[in-house]
Amino acid sequence: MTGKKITLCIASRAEYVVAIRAALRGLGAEENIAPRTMSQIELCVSEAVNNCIKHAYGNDPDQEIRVEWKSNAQTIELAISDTGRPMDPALMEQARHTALQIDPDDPASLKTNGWGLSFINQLMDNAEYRTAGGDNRLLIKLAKERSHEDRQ
Amino acid sequence: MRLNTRKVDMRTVVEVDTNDLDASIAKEFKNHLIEVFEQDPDAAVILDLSKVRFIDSTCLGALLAAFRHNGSKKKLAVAEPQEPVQHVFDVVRLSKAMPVYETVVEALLMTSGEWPARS
Repeated sequence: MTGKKITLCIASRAEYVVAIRAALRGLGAEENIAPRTMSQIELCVSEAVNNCIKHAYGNDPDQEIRVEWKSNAQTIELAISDTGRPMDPALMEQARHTALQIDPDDPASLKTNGWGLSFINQLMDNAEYRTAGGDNRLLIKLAKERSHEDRQ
Repeated sequence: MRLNTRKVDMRTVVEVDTNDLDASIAKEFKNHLIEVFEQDPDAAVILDLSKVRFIDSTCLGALLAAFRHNGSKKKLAVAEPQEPVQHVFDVVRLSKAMPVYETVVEALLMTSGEWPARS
């Protein structure tokens, strides 16, 4: 993929995720990406970084999380990586098949956590999790020009 | 983060005074909401999100946890979400659990009589 490549890096602290979002907004504005698409990217990257902080690093605040942005004329690819405890790949598969909607008659659907991976799977065109050599990487991909009305 | 509350008739309007509702304040958000709910258990609450430009799943969970705190019996409505926040609510169909209004004025009008049914 030729085009822009930028890497952002933060310590594993929830209060720093806002800085990642601000940087992503800047990149999106520079590339003229639709606001709806950018808000989906902000949400999905935040969810992925939250997972790194909580699950990969067990809330240890002094670890490192990288967010890599690659884009060309058609596509944006984002890689969110950590070097902590790998995620069970079955969770990704499970999230693909989990309904992301509240059913007021089903109290279990009013769940208070566990939405993150489902958002990523539902809102991005493609999401893959890879782990190798101590590096865990969530790769998400989406087309720049999308029919937003077709997506929720 | 701060929640600014004001009474309008029998309802409490709670303005969320922050731009980003994210994991760094999710626990605080939930505890503040529960505190407001418990201060006047019978009052309906309208949550004014006009200043919030981002919400993640942890704060969505915090909102639902606060709502569930009293067996989902609290009369709670959400008002004036900005587009990115409305989008998250649309994806999970939050309006199935609680009314969502475009403006605080609309929320006050629509909740002045009987509490509206879930959509």
